[in-house]
Amino acid sequence: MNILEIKNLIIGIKKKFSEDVLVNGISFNLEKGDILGIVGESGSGKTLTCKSLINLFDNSKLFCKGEILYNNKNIINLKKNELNKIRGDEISMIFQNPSTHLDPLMTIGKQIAESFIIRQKIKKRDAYLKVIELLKSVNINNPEEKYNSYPHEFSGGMKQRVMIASALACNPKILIADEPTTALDVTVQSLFLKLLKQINKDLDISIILVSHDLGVIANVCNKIIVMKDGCIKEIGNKNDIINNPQNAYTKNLINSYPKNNNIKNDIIENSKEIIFDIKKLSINWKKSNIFNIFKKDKKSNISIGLDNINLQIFKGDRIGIVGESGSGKSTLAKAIINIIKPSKGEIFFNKVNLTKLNNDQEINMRQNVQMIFQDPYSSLNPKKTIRNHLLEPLKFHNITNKDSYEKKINELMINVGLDNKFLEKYPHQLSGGQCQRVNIARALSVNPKILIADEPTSALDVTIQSQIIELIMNLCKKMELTLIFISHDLSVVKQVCDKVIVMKNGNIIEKGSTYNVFHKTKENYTKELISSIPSLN
Amino acid sequence: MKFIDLINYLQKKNIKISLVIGFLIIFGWFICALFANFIAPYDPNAHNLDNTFQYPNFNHFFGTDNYGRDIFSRVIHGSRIDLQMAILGVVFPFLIGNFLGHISGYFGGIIDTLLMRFLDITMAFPFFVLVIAIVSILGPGLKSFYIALALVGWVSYARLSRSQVLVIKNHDYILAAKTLGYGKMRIIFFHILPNSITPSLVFAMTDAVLVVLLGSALSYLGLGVQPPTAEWGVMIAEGQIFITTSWWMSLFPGLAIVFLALGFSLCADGLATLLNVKE
Repeated sequence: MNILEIKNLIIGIKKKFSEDVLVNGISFNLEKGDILGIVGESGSGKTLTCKSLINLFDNSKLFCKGEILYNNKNIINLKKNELNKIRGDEISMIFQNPSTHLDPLMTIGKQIAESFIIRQKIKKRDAYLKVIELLKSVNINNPEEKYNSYPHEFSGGMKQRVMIASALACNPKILIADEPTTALDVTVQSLFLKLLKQINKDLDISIILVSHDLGVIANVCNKIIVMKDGCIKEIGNKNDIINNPQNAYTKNLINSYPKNNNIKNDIIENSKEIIFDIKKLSINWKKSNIFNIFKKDKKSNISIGLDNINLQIFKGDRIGIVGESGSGKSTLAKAIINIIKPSKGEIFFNKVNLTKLNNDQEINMRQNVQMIFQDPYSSLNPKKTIRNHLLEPLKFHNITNKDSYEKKINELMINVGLDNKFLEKYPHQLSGGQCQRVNIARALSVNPKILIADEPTSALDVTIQSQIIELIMNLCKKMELTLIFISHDLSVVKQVCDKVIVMKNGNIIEKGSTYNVFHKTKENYTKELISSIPSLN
Repeated sequence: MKFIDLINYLQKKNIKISLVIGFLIIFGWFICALFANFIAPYDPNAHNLDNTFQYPNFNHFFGTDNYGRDIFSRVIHGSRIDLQMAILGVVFPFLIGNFLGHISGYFGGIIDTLLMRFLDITMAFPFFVLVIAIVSILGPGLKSFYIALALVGWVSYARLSRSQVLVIKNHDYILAAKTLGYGKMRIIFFHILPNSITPSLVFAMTDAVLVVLLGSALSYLGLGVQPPTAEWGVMIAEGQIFITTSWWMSLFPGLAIVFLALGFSLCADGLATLLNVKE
């Protein structure tokens, strides 16, 4: 039985003389009890489609045509008070970033109770009981205690569960989840997806799950829609789409997904040359506050970034650092590249102590160690052309003589697979993947020996992600680079690295060759991480 | 090129019509200032006691004052001093404020604290009172006016640029510049400055308006330009006694101030849109 029917939905931007179509005539049905997954890259129109289902956008800028039939009513044409009855009571929605969708000045309990009191006209005391019940049903421990907590006291995963609880408050028939796990760590993500399945089964709610991550969708949904450029490329049952895709784009999407294949147990021979030698490295952050003078407990003002880390990096290594957010992996990278000074301990680069560099040694170290950053846009200066980005390091470090600047720039662009016509453009005129290629080109411009990549693919779409990873791997082989690859995504690390370090709360939990870490796992935490990787099957 | 093509071109380049108009007005005043001797029909300071208090007419477009001086000529010549005030009165605070703001924002710590507390002290005094106090200590005249503005006016620029730098220095491209080993000054002035200067530039345009008004106000109080020099504020002050009988003596220099201020305001508005596009 169809609970929601979408027929020929068109969404676009209003312009003065023309219209820009973003979602181009899509049609699909949601059956009762289904979990429908919508997957697509950024800009494919999946979020817009979702928002249109409860008519939740700015009507002065966007227009919406077609039919969204719920109970034989077209949601697009409904008036505001009729819409308000449907929103929350019949169809409710949860969003990507749980921290920005909760009111920071209202306790968790009150936020959920509000919809009971306003919508269902329930007395405050009864609402309290209902909220407790709801919090229990989304697996929050000690709901009585948590009722009076504020959002900032909750972790990301718990906030997302509170979002679900408030979405479920009025017993909706349909739940729309727009990228609900993108801001969460893998272990939290897998718990959250279990919760979604449980809600679907226990409460008989149909769910529309939107994600860019095919693994997440394949894990939960029984029907999948593949979207691209505002059109539906393929629609069908999960098994059909994953195992037997018809459309070329779907095939590409599935092939780009990092494979969870078993890897061979290659014996890695350490080259004898140690490049980085990290000894007892600790980094603490002090909270400066004038009232701290009066506090007796001085330790409470110190938060630990890294705790007593010992690590040796050999020439030619491809080391992966994995861990959840806040585990200290980026801090470690920044300490290695000498941007954060260690509080205790020492880092030696080619036997030179990083804290005691003189000017020449620092320039030499900077030239040898380069970094690629997570956000491709924010790591390029918006007021400089691509040529300037590549030219400045060449001049500064005297890489080549003046006459061969052009030659070197062309060579770099060819190496990262970019056309020369991009040289005169500004970063905002490029796509995310192209920007990341420029970042790589800039890092390689000074002929480094070591490349640190801090989550280089997590801001990119999955098809672009696989291209960038391939590029980094090829360049490493070609230029004999030592690679330090930081990622929260274990399947990517498995593909790229030959050694893995698992971090948690500023400590190294486990280290070893990729084979040993993935197939002869010692620590429970690592096991948990590995089992949380969403896979297509 | 047809008119509609021009409009399309401007829209494509993200140039607002207000920027064009504002630019034309300021450009017009520049022409007046440069060619004042050719445009003005009379000597601005030539007395003609047979010809006092003339109503605006074809010989004297804006009429004449109590000494029989041609007001039109005086307004044209006045643009030399008022434009100079608008530009010099903004440039020095702009340079000082931005320099200190960038240093303070980038380095933080003790430098930041010291500079910002000094800034707080300067801000604690009312702007006008402080300017007037400094000018009266140094003695009336344009030179002391510029010194006073440089000493007091830098605070707004320092605040503005510091807050910009605080945001921009956390972007990854600054981190990238650090990993490439660039020096601190190179990072501040070649990498941060082009991105942080926009609000200061826009504010400078608005500030120019305030400086012109302040200059005129000081002249009016007798602390700025001294009579008989043709300057708009002085002229308004001179006309004040005769406002009931000869309104044109104050009106036309007043209108001149309004037009120059309008030009700067429109420019500020247009610049804000033009410079914001790449972010």
